[in-house]
Amino acid sequence: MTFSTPGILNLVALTCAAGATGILVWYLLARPALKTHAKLWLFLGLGPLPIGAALAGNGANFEETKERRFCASCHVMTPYAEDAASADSRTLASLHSKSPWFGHESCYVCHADYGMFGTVTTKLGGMRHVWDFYTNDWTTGERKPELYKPYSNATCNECHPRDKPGAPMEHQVHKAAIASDEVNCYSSGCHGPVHPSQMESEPALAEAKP
Amino acid sequence: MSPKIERRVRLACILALVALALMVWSQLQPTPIPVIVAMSIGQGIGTISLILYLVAIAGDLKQARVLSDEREKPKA
Repeated sequence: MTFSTPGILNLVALTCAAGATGILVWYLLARPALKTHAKLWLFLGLGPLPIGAALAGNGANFEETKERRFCASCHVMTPYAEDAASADSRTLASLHSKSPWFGHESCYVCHADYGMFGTVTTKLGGMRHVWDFYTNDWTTGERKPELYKPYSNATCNECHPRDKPGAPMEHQVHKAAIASDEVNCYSSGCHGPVHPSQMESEPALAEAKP
Repeated sequence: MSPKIERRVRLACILALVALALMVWSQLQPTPIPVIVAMSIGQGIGTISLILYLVAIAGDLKQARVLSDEREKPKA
């Protein structure tokens, strides 16, 4: 536990939970008469403290789910996580994971939906992956995790603006195609491969420089 | 306090302890399953426990005629 925002939220959640547990266990073991005093303590143990634990816990959990180690904790993501952490890999995922700014949450940064409700829509998409994982058989290795909608260049453009001065010739020539997602940044011959799975489906990319 | 109300309060306490255990699990082991369980089942059970307690207390207050409509009517 560190004293970052999730660390503090985590501490608040655990403190509230400990307080509520203390009150509830005291009531169950001591069995005091349910007079006003006991009722108020019980209200604290059943209302504000668990609600505080839930709110702080949700905040901590939302922050934790952005971490690369959280994505890597699902075993189907192991090849992706190992590649991202590899010092020798030349995939886009690995290069972005080396960023001191957001490398620890590179999965989230590259796969998040931006906008006001981006975090929520991203987490709902993640829940759909979990649902699919448990309702379909992903354990055979035949079915790999996949995106439910085409990856948009707009996500890359959040950090790499398209219209910067001195843009390479390819970007100028394919400007309209890039803007309409007809050509993807990670396409063959552009900046791919993005993940090892893309190298398996497009072997020529394994030799290409990102 | 009737035994029925006391039973409800005790049940609320036990449900809240289960909910808290699930929430704490997600804080100590923040992996997908604990997080999903805490944020759905855990918080659902926690909400039910609070509602159960409030219902029990409302029943107790009604029994004690604090919430009752029956008031002593002034004599004519």
